[in-house]
Amino acid sequence: MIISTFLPFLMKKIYSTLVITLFALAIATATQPRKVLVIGIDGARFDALQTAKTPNIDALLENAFYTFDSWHLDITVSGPSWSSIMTGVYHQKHGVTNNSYSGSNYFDYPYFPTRAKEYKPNLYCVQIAEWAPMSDDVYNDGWNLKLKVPDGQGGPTENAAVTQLANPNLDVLFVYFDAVDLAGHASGFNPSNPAYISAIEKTDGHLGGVLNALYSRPNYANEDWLILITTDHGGIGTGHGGNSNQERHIWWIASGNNISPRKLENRPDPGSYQISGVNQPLRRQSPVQADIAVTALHHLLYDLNFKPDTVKAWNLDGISWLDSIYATSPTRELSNSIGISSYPIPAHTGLVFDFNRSLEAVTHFELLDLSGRICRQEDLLSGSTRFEMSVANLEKGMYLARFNSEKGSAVLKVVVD
Amino acid sequence: MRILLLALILFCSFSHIKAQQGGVRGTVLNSLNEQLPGATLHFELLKMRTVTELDGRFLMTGLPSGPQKLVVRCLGFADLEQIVQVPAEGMLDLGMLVLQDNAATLGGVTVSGKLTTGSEFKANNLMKSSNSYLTVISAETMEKLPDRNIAEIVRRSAGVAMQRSYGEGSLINLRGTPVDWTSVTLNGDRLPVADENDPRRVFQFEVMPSDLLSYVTINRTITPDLEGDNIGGVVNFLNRSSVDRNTMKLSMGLGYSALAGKPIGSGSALLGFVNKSKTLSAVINGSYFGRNWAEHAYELEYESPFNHGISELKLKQYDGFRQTTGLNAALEFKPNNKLTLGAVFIMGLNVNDKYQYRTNYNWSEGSGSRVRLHNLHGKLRSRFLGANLNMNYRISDRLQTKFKLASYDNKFEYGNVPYSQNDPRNGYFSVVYISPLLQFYDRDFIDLYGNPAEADDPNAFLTKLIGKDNPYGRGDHYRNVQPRYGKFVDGSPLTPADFSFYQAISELNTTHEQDPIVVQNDWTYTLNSHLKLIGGLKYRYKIGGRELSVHKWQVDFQNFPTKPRLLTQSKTNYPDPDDNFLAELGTPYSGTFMPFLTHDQLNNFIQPLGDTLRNIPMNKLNQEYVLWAGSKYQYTEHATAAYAMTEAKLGKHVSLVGGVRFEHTRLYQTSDTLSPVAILDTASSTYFYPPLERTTDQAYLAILPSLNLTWSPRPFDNIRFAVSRTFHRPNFAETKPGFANISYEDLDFTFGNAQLRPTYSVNFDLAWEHFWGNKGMVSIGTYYKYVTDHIFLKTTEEYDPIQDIGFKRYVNAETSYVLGLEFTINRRFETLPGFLSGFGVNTNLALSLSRMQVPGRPSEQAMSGQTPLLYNLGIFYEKYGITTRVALNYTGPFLKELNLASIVPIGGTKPELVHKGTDFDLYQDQFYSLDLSVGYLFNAHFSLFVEVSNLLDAPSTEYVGVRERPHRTGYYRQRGQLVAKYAF
Ligand SMILES: [Zn+2]
Repeated sequence: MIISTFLPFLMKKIYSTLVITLFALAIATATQPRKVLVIGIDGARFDALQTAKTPNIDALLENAFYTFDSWHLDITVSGPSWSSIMTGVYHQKHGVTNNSYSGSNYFDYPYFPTRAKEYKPNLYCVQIAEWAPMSDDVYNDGWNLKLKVPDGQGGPTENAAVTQLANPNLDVLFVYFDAVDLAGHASGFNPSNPAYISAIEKTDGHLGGVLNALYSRPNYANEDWLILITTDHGGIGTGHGGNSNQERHIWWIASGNNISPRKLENRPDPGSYQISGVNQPLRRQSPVQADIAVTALHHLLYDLNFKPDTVKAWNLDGISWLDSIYATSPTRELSNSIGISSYPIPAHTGLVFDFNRSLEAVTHFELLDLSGRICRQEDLLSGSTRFEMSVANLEKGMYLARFNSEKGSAVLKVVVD
Repeated sequence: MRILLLALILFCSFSHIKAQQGGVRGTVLNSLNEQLPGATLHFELLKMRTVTELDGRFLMTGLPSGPQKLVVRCLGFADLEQIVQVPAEGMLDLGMLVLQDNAATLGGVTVSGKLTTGSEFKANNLMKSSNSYLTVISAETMEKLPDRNIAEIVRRSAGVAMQRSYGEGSLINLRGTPVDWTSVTLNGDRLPVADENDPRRVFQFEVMPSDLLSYVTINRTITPDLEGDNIGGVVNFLNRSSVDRNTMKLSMGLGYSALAGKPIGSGSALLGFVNKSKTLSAVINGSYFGRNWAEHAYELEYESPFNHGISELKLKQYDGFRQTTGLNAALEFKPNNKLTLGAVFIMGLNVNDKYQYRTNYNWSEGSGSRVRLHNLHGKLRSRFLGANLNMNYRISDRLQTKFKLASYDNKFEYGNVPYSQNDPRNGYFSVVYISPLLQFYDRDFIDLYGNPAEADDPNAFLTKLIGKDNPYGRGDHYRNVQPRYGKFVDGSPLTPADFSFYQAISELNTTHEQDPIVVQNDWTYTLNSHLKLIGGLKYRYKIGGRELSVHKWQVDFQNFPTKPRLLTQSKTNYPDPDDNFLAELGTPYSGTFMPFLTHDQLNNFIQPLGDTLRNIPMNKLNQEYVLWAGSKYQYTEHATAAYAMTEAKLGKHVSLVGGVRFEHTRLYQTSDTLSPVAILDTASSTYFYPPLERTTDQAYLAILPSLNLTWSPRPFDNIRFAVSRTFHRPNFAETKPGFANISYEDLDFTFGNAQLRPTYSVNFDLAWEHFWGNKGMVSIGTYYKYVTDHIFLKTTEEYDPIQDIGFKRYVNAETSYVLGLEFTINRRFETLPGFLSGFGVNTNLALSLSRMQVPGRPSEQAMSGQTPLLYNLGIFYEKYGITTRVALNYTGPFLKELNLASIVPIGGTKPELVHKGTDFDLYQDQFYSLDLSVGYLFNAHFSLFVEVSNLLDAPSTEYVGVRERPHRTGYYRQRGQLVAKYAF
């Protein structure tokens, strides 16, 4: 089904060994234990997050695949939203429509740690949550430990996370902060509201403490941590739950030592199950809430060589972005000179390549099938921002799209269906 | 203490010097053998006079021996003249001096008419002859009014403002001062208080039925023998302590509440016994008042401290049954003329069994735009107990001492709901149902401060705006705020089947205050007819505490994953079957109501669900405990007082009372704060802030001099001047240590302040009273209070580290003042011809002006709780056995709560007030009621009364800034009662 790998390349001459190299790198990183840290900040609007002074999140973004153009596809309320984030499915499946959690169906659609443990039962997974229902009303969630911390305080949450991160056996940690949402309800989800901005800034401080503890793990250099951060909804006035852009426009961050830095901008709104449905091709242009669980799951189960979103029994709504954001070589500088994404995934009739910045040199494009045969090639002019091609005549399957110029190179996996 | 001893020594030495002169004593009675207090006794040639006590007794010493002419004068009675042989030494007992009603001279006034008018004269007479400026309300006056509630009776006097709860008088404040500046005492002891909502030192009048009392006095000026903890004045209750003949009185009432559509019942009985020698008297009286009541109210919640967007509309339908039971038992033993021993027990119990069906429209909340249905039930129990042992001993004809030992106990608690047995989870219980998400079509875009904004403005609020707050001119009228919405999914209207169980909540509250020991000893030394020296000691030990909490139940989804529990699975009924809700406003919500749980279903909701519900207690392990840690405290207070004063008659026309009172206060308070470091409870996997107990110990001494001067240029005129210093002890919630009371919604973190000083006031009074014999009285008075260390909430430099909300602490503010004018006229038009001579007026008016400086605001403003205008217009007709009274009572609007939201502005360094003006302050709107009572006295034993109250059905309204921005508006409608009284 999926997905594009953006793989900047050092040795641009060794075209024929490309595929082999990809697999070799995958094996190399597989020796590092893969771990996941999810940080949830309740009710943080995308624009307020950018307005506030958040040095810790900013530092993380230098190493992150992220967007301030993620869209909420469902009920913009905490209970349903965190359920989507942690299960990888929307309310039609997980059943939560309000904060009483009535109607929940976590037996059929559990939190992602439960799914991960179907394959790796020894994973050690911990949740630290300020909001009581996340501990008390959720079940079949796979946590070995659910820690409750005082609501809206941040400090104890940070301290609890620091303690947990000192445990070398920790595999999954979910840390949840509530202060921003409380401030929004009290006086407005609003970049001009000082109480709201302050709550974001203070939460950023605690987040910094959590990250420091992560980086201080004795074995950190030999671990492969995927850090996922998001919010459950925005807000308008002192509430949320509706479909306004202020409530639906959110943000999504994936960071880690092996993540290719990239910022997705101006992503279109794919719509919402709460309005007239979700446009699936558009929805794949930018990560959404349900993708947190699926990407995390993919990371945890990466060595098993399958993608969670392909498992029929799990029936997930989210997709994994791991392949397209995962870098295995230290050439991240290049990705700042050419950033390419492709859509739709999979491609049916046409394939679009978007360049984050216009090309700085004439760039040679080749599309190869997995046997290394060149199916299409073209020279792209300097200054191009976009390249479209038809896939009508191509066989279904996976291909590699290679871009090469004197400024750098890139390889993307594309799927034709 | 030392001063007192000195004074006593002084008295005794005087008594030796003056021992040569003689004296007289006796009791003044009316023709029914009722004691007449406040009657004056004049030896006119000697220019000496005295006044009878409440029991009609008098004592005069220092009279030259030989025959002297004595005139006994009392309003409403013919003067009694008598030649008295004053002995050269010792006391002459004049026995009973019986005054004859001069009603006979008026003609046409029936016997029963005389009985009632006589009692009012008694009260007038007390006022006239008092040393200080006070209003006296006698039991007979109270019986003529439709009210069972003392607050409703007291508020008919000049300068008295009343606040209501559940449509009945609850709080009283005198002269436009804050409620906690008025002291409420029983037999001179300030009463302990325990209320559901109000943590201040204010007495809730509901608990004390008027039937138990013989007098209420409203003391506008203070003498040193009164407890000094008041600035507004003192309302003192005197319970019935004795009878002077065997008495039996019964009264029964039946009535109807128009809104509840249900009955009202009342009854009281008084049994009095006195033995033949009149040495032993016992009185027991009880009263019961049960009334079904109802209220229709709508309430708007404003969503942010920055603008006037509306987040919620609450439609509240209350119905309840309120029962007030009172019991008074008193025993008095007078073995001889010197000694009186008494014992008193008094009890009041007020139980309000209330149900509420509340429809909440939530434009914005954490769970999205929804409708919530709250089914509430609670039994609110307030209980007051008091007892005292007292002794009055005349050591000699000059020296008298009084001793009193008393104990009081006041408690509020919730009754047995939802569990039938005593259960710590019993409280104000509610079951909440929630709708699916809604889309509201009536919201507009504004910026943070309420100006128009574009939909794509990132700072826009999308909110409901009414009236002038809607910058687009499309706001609903404030009396017809309509939510316009459809279901989120398809815009269709809600049906009962859409609602599912959300949670059940019990609000918990235990509040108690006891004065286990109040001990008092007073000494009076009568030097001569011109001079009395009085001194005394008092000690009061007080303990109390308050604990607020909440208990929740939610479905235990971990163990009992179930489908949502729908409203339609329970027994329900529609709350407004007669389409009657807010009929005063034209039933704006007609046909919109969802069904609610039947009372029976509500009361049996929790138990059958058993283990499928998860209990969520509010304790240190609860993740929201930070909001509650500061709302629990205990205190112990020792108040010790000593006073010395003199009562002097200067010449024929001037009398004076002056002296000084010392009140020492020692206060210990305990409350929790939270340790700044959270620790882990491994059993529950919970990090929590361990509560740490904090204790404070404060002490202060108040020195309170006062002087009352009365000049009576003519027998029926008084000109009064008074100056006094009084004080106000801070409320316990204001001085408590420990954690803040937190309200994120109001941007409020309020800490107590153990360094708080009490408030002091220097009070000046000037008044003129004129008594028209038996026809009534008129008075005009002005007053001025210069107040220092007024207690106030101030934003400090500190703030909450998370949201930058400024911490507030109670502080002593700058000086403030109140200036007022009072006017009273009570007049019977007996000089009018025939039928018309039964008419009279009972009217008063109070105007006041106050100013205080709110820290952080640019200009001074009126004090909170202070209304600029109060009046009562009463007209009565009393003749031919008919007693009719119509009264209009008006209380002007006043400031109830200041909005002192404060926050560190973006880019700022310290918290500032969000609002410098008053547009976000909460006001109580004007309130008026028109009450009517008609009575007919069939004979000396039997009478019937019809009482109808609240004829105009005026709403009780709170508003934010301006009247067109209501917060809560409630209607109680009319109530009527037919009362039959029988006296044996
Ligand atoms: Zn939320």
